[in-house]
Amino acid sequence: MAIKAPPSSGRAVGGDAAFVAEVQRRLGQAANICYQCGKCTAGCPMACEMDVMPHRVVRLVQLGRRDEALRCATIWLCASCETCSSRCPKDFDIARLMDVLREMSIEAGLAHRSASDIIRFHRSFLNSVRRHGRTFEPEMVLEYKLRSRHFLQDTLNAVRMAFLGKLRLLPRNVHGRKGVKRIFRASRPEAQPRTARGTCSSATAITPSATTQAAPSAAARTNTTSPSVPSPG
Amino acid sequence: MARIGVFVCHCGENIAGTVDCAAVVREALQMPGVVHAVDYKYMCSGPGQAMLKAAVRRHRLTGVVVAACSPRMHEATFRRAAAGADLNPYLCEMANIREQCSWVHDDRDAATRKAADLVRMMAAKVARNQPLQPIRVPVTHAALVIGGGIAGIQAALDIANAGHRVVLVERQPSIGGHMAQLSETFPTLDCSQCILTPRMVDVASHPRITLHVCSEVESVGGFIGNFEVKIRRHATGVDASLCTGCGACVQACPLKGTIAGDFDCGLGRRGAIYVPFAQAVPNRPAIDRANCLRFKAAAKQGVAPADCAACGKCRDACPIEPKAIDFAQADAVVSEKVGAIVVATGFDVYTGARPKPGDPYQGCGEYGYGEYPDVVTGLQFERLLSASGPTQGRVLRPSDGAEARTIAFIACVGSRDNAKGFTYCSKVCCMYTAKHAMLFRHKVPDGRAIVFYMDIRSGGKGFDEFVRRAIEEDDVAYFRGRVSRVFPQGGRLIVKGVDTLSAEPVEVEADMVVLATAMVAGEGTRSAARALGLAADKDGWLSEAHPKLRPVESATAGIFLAGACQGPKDIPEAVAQAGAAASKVLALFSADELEREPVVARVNRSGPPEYSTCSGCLACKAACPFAAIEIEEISNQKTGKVIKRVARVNESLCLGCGTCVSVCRSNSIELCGFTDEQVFAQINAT
Amino acid sequence: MGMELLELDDWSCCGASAAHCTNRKLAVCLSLRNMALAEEQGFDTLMAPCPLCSGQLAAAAEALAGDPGLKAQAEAAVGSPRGQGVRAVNYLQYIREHCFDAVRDMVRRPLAGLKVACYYGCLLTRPPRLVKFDDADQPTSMEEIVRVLGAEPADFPHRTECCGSGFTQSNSKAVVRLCRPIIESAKAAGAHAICVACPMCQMNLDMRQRDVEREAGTKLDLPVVYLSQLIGLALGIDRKELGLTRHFVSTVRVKGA
Repeated sequence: MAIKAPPSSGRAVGGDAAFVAEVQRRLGQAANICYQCGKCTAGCPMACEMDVMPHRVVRLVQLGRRDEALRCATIWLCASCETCSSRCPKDFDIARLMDVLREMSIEAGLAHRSASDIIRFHRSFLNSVRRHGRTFEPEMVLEYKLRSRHFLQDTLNAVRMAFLGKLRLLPRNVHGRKGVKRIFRASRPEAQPRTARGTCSSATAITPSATTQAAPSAAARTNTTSPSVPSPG
Repeated sequence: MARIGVFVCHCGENIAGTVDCAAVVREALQMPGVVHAVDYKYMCSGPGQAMLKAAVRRHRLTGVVVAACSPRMHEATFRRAAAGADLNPYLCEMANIREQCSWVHDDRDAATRKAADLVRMMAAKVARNQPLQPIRVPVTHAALVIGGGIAGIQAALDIANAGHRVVLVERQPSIGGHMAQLSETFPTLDCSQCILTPRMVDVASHPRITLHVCSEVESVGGFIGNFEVKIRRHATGVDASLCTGCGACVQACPLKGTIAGDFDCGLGRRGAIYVPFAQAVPNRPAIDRANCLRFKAAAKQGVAPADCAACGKCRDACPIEPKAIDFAQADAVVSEKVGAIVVATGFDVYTGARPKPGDPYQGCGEYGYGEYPDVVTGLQFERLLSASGPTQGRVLRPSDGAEARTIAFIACVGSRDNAKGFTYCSKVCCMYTAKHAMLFRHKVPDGRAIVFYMDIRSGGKGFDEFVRRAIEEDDVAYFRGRVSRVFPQGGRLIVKGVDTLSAEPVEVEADMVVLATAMVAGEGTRSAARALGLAADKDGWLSEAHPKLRPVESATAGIFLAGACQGPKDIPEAVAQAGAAASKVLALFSADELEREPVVARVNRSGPPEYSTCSGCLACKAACPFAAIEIEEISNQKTGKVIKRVARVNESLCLGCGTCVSVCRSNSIELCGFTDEQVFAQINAT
Repeated sequence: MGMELLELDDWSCCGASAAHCTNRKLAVCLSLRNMALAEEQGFDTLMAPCPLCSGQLAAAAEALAGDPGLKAQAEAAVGSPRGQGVRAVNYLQYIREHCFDAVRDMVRRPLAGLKVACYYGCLLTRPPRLVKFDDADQPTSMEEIVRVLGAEPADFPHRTECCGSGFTQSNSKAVVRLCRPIIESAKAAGAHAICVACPMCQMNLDMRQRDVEREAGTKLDLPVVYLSQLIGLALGIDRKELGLTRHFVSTVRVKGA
C-alpha cells in the first residue's frame, strides 16, 4: 500500500517497518497511539529552535521514516522537561521516545551535526562517572573543552565558582568503583566495534560506529572529525 | 404417545446445496416418535406454512420440528403457523441445519449426517416439550418521566398528547434543563428559550401531566406495567397552591444579588429566595436553605425555622393572605403507580477544575479553570452571550468586566483524552464552538476569534456548512492543534497552542479563553441509575439494550432512555430519542394487558408435607440479574403459621436466562421450555 | 526535626541526562545500584535533592517492573536483585509529606515581609505517573511550606516552565531565553527572591542571571535560593552555614523583617 512520492524525492512513503518495530520495542508503546493533536509541540519550550516539530517526529516514526527521524536536530534540542509526556492526552511518552531516538541515532552514527557538542558533553560526563563513580567537575569540564574546543566558554564563571567555593579540587571516589565500571561494561550496546585508539572510549556507553560513512556534510570537512560521529578519545 | 412431524427445508440451495435433504427425511422417519417427515424448498413461504398446518391436522401431530435456518429468523413464523393449526406454539421447535450446518461445512456426507443428528436431537426434545401459555401482565396506563430537560419535556408531551397520564419529575426549581441556558442553537441560530418555553408552558398547562419540581425519584419497585414509584418533593418553603408568582419575595430578600447561582453557572448573582430565570416554569420561587439567613440561624440556634426570629422578609413581603411562604413546609413523599418509565436525566458539564477530595474526575490544570477567572466553560460563555444573562448579552471578562476583544476557543477539553479526561468525543462541541465564535464576531465585529481544534465533527443537516460559514464568512481563525498551556500575563491570558497544519507552535494573547469541555453523565443520571438498577457504561452513560437496533430501551423491561443520559448528543437527537421512547411507551399502553413469553423459570411445588424440594437457601435470588426472584411463605391456611419459606419466580420480571437453574443446589427450579429432561434428551439423542 | 536523614553510603551518580539520553540500560543500572545499596543499608525510601535523580530512580523502578528481560540484565550488571521496591522521592516531596508539621513548629525567625516566587521547574511534579505528588500544572506544595515559614508566596505564571535544564553548557542561549520570562515575571509579581528545589534550576537562574540581564537590558538582581536554605533561615541557622554567601546573585536581602 506504499504510495509513491513524486519522482523528485524518490522516496516511498511506505517506510521502514523494522525501524518502527524497533522503536516500539524500546519504547514499549505503539506509535499509532499518537493522534497528532500537536499538544506536545504546543508546550515544548525548545520547539522554536527545532527543525522538526516534536509531533512531527512522532509522525516520522509512524511513517517509518528512519533517516529523517534519527538525523533531525530536534532530538538533541529536547530538554527532557517532560512537559509533552505530562500533557499528552493519549499518555504517549514522547519524552522517552526522544531518549530512544537519541540512543538509536548514536548507534547508527546519524546524529545531527549540531549535536556534536551535546554528545561530547554527555561523553565527558559519563567518562567522569565511570572513573570515579561520581562526576568530578574540573576533570569533566576540561575533557569537554578539549573535545569541543570551546576553551574560553564560562572561564569567568569558573573563576567565580572557584571563589564562591563551588568547585572541588579533588575527586570523591566511590568505594564500589569496580561495580560502577562493571555496569558500564555490561551496558555497552551490543555488537559495538571497539575503536582502535585508547581504552577509555571503548568502555564508555557512547562508542561511535566504526564506519564514518554516515554522510558528513561538506561544511564539516573543515573539521578533522566527522561531524555526525563523535570523535573517539 | 408422541406424534412428531419433521419438515426439512431446502432453503433454495442454502441447505440443499450441502445437505442431502431427502436422506435426512429418510433418517427422520426412523427416529422414535416421528410419524411424518417431508422436505420442501422454502418452508417459510406461504405454501410451506400452509403445508405444515395441513400436516399437523392430517397427521394429528403433537410436536413439530422444522429443520431449516436459525430460530432467530423464523421460530416466530413457524410457531404462528402451528398455533394456526391449533397446536400449542411451544410444541414447535427448529433444528438449525443452515447456520450451524450447511453454511459452515463442505463435506456433503458429513454435513448430511450432522443435519440428521440435529433433527434427532430436536425430535427427542420436542417429544418432552410441554404446552406453555403466554403470561399476561396488567398494564397501568400512566408514565413516569424523570428529568425535565428538552428530552423529558418532549417525551412527556408525546405520551400525554396520546391520551395517557404522565408524571414528570425534575430536581431543579424549573423545567427546561440545559437548553434553557443556551443563547442560540446551531445551525439555525434560533433563540433557545424562544423555541423551548412554549413547550415548557405546554407541559405545565397540560391536563394529563403532573409536574413535580424540586423533586427526586426516591425509589422504584415493581415491574413493567406495574411500577410503584416514590417521589420526594423537597421543601421549597413556598406553598404551590397559594403562590401567584408575583415575585415580591424575591425583591425583598436581603441577599438578593449576592449568591452565585447555578443557572448562570456561577457568573450571575441571586438571592436566597429566587426564581432561577425569568421564564421559569413553574414561575414560583424556592428558598435555598443553605444560604437563607433564617434557615442558617435556625440551624445554629437549634430551633425550627418557623420559630426562628431571623429575617423572614420574604414572608413579610408576600401580598396575599394566607401567606404563600411557609417556613414550616417539610419534604413530602408522593407515591405513584405507573406502567412505564422514561429516564431523561441529561448531562453535566466538566470544567477541568482542580478536583476536591471525592470528586470523580481529574482536573486539567494546564488550562487554569478555577485559577484564572477569565477562563470559562462553553456553558458559561452561553450565559455571557445570552441577552437575559448576567451581562445582558455583552461579552465581558469575569475578572474586570472589561469587554473581551480577543477570545481563544479551545476544543476537546476533557474529551478524547485518555490521560486525564474521557476517551469519548462529546459530539456537540465542534458545533457550539463554531457557534460561539460566530456569535462573538457578530457582537464584536472587530474582535478576534481563534479556535484551536483537533478535528471538526459536523455531521448533521446543515452542520458542515455552518462551520464553513464561521471560517469563510465570519473570519474565525481555525488552528488545528491542541493547546498545551494557558497562563496569565499582564492581565491577559497567553495561550500556547500549535498549528499542526503548518507545523508551528502558535501563541495567542487573549482577553478570555473559552473551554469546550466534555459532557459528562451527571449526578442526576447516576442517582437515577442507582434508584432504577440501570446498567451504565464505564463513563456513567446509561446503557441501551442494543447499540444499533434498540437505542431507547434499557435492559430492564418498561424503562426507556431519552436524551443525553444515554450518551452525548445534540438537541435534535434528544428530541428524536424522546419521541422514540414515547412511541415505545405508547406501544406498551396500546393494550390493557401485556403478553410475555412463557420461557420463564419456575420453582417446583408439590403437596404436603414437602410442598417443594426448594430449601429456601435463596442462592437463586442472589444470582438473578433481573431481581425476579422473591421469597414465598407457605403457611398453614387455618393458623397462619409459616411452614416453609421457598423461592418464587416473578414471571413478569423473569427473562428466562437460566442462571437460577444452574445455581440451584437441590435442582428445584427449572426453565419452562428448557427443562433438564428436555435438554438431557437432546444431548443423549446422539 | 525528629527525623534522621542518613546519606546513602557509597552512592554513585545516576548518570543524569547523559545516561538516559544515550543509553537506557546504563541509566537503569546506575539507578538500580543506588536502590540496591539503599535496601541493603535498611532504607525503604531514597530522597534525592535533585529531582532529575529522583525521577531517574523512579523511572528505573518502573522500567524494571515492566520488562523482565531488562530486569534480569540489570540485576546481573549491578550484581544484586535488591532495591526494586525502594521508593524514590524528591526534596520538596519529602519536606511536604514528612516534615511539614515539624518545620512549622520549629520556625524561630519567621521570614515576615519576604515575598518569594516558588519556582518548581520541570521535574518536581512531572511526569505525574512517576512523581505521584501535587498537581503537575497548578502545584501548591512549595507555597504551603513558604507560608508556614512566615513568607508570602508571589503569584507568578511561570512556576512550572522549563529553565533549560542540562543545556547550561551546551546551549546556554536556550537557557537565557527560557530563564528570562521566569525571572522577569517573578520580579513583576513583586518577588524578593526565587525559591527552588532543584540544583540545575538554581544554577541556571543564578549563574546565568547576568546573561539574562544583558539580554533584557535591565538589572534584575533577584536572588535564587534553595527551599532548604529558606527553611534553614526560618529555623535560625547561620547564613554562612546555609551557603547563602556562595551565590552568584547576592542573597543579602533574603531575610525576615
